[in-house]
Amino acid sequence: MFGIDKLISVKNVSFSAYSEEKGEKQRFILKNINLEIAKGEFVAILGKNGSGKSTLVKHFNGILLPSEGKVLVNGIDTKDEDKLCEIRQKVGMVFQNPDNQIISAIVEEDVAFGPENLGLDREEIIRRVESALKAVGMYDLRKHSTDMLSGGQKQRVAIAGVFAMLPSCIVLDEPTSMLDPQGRKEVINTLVKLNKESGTTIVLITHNTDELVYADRIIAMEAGSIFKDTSLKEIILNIEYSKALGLNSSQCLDLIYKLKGKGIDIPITIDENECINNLAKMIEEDKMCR
Amino acid sequence: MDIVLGQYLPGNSVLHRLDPRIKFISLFALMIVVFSAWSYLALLIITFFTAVLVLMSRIRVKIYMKNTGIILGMTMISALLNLFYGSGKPVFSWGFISITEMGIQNSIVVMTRIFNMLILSTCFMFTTSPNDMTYGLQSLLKPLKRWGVNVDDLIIMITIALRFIPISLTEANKIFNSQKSRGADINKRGIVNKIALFIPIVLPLFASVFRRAYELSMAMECRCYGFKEERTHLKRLETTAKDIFALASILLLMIGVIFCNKINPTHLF
Repeated sequence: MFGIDKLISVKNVSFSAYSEEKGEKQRFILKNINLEIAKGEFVAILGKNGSGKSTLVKHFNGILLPSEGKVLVNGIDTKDEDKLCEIRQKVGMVFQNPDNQIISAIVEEDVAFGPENLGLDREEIIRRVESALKAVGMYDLRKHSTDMLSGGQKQRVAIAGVFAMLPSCIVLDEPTSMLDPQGRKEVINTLVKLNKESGTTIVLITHNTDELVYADRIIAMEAGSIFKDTSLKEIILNIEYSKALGLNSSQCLDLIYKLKGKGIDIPITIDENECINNLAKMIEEDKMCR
Repeated sequence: MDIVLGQYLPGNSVLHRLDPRIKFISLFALMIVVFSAWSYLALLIITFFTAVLVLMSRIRVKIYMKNTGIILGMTMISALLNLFYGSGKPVFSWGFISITEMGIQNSIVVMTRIFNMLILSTCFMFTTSPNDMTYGLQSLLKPLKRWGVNVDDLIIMITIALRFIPISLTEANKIFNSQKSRGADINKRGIVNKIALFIPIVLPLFASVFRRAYELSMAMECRCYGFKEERTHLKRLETTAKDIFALASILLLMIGVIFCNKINPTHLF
């Protein structure tokens, strides 16, 4: 039915917030969505506000249950209440505002919250907290107060808190939208590291073009359905797409489109270094021609 | 914004490092000792003990005075009033005012007791962080589980409250400033105006707190809170030699006080 490498499969899922029994008019937030996410993927989900992307990811660990269709995590239906804990362990979730998801006033205790809930032995908790904090690079601050951290650090603590439960997948709902550029970089680098080193599947909701560079796959949503499920190249090659999806354009992309407007043919990329290299090469060639 | 939660003053004195459970028990025991002492000798010993604890906390006496000053002043006044109520042989009388032996005794005993109690509890507050207090409570309340009290939930509630108080205060400050910048007249006088002013600050604050609570509960659910009957804990309190010593010295104090009460009942004159 499904391969072992399929971590999350979403099958014909529709979701409406109002129940028909109450006589309210049904309004579907998600309409007939089919989606499969494999182990180890780095998936970015794009879409304007209200396109249903947050609603979709909340189905991945059973926070919301589909009105129609079903969601399978590792082959387990999210409607199976007995296995909900297992599902939430497999698929961790990080939200937008770090302040609203940190429970304890001390870093290491917050990271321990998940393992404590699982009823693990103390030795195991200590091991997991240590490795999670090391993975996000916050081990040195483990005894610190969570109030004193920067936004990026707080968000990394939140990621460690999820990572300490040894998830196969971490879903992040706009984790960087409240952060400064420095914090943004910290968080994204952490995610890339977790993806590469631990093979953790990352599902990232974002508005930022810069953050898409690392994604293997991009799912664009519009009005409750999947509009495009493609690679980064296709999205950025199409300026109309980016506009339709409400993407914050990147400086790099802006420059490329401006140059293109002036009749200069330059390959499209959103990797800054690649763009700089391309430009350097072109300038070099230009000199040679003269 | 610098918010001091409780009155905790970070430090590394012996008192700071004591096991919070022992501190709770000690404070409780000391309260009993203080209120059971009635002989002058016993009160003297207790005051000496309090002084030693204050020195051990490595917090300046000035800070203690600043924190307890007002309450201390009030108790002094009430103790002074005690002077005039007392039966027995008057020591001094002037018109309708007469001060009796018992009045003097009462006021001295009451004053010393309240003074000691205040300083001791302040010392506890100064040297115990809110987190430590939570752990202490958690451990001490554990037996209540037998009667169906969910101690874990209670402790999580306290933990979250402790975390959200500073956040909410910052938020309140933000709202205050943004309402001010939109032209809300903050400096109005009169109690009605003051109450009316409350609305533009408190309503948004409540809205934001509820939103936070909703998101937090979702985040907690995502981390499997409430699925397992029994939670385990990272933090483990350890009772060491100094804790045993603390308990032993309080026990000694207790015996001393009982003894003093026996041999030296209050006969000042």
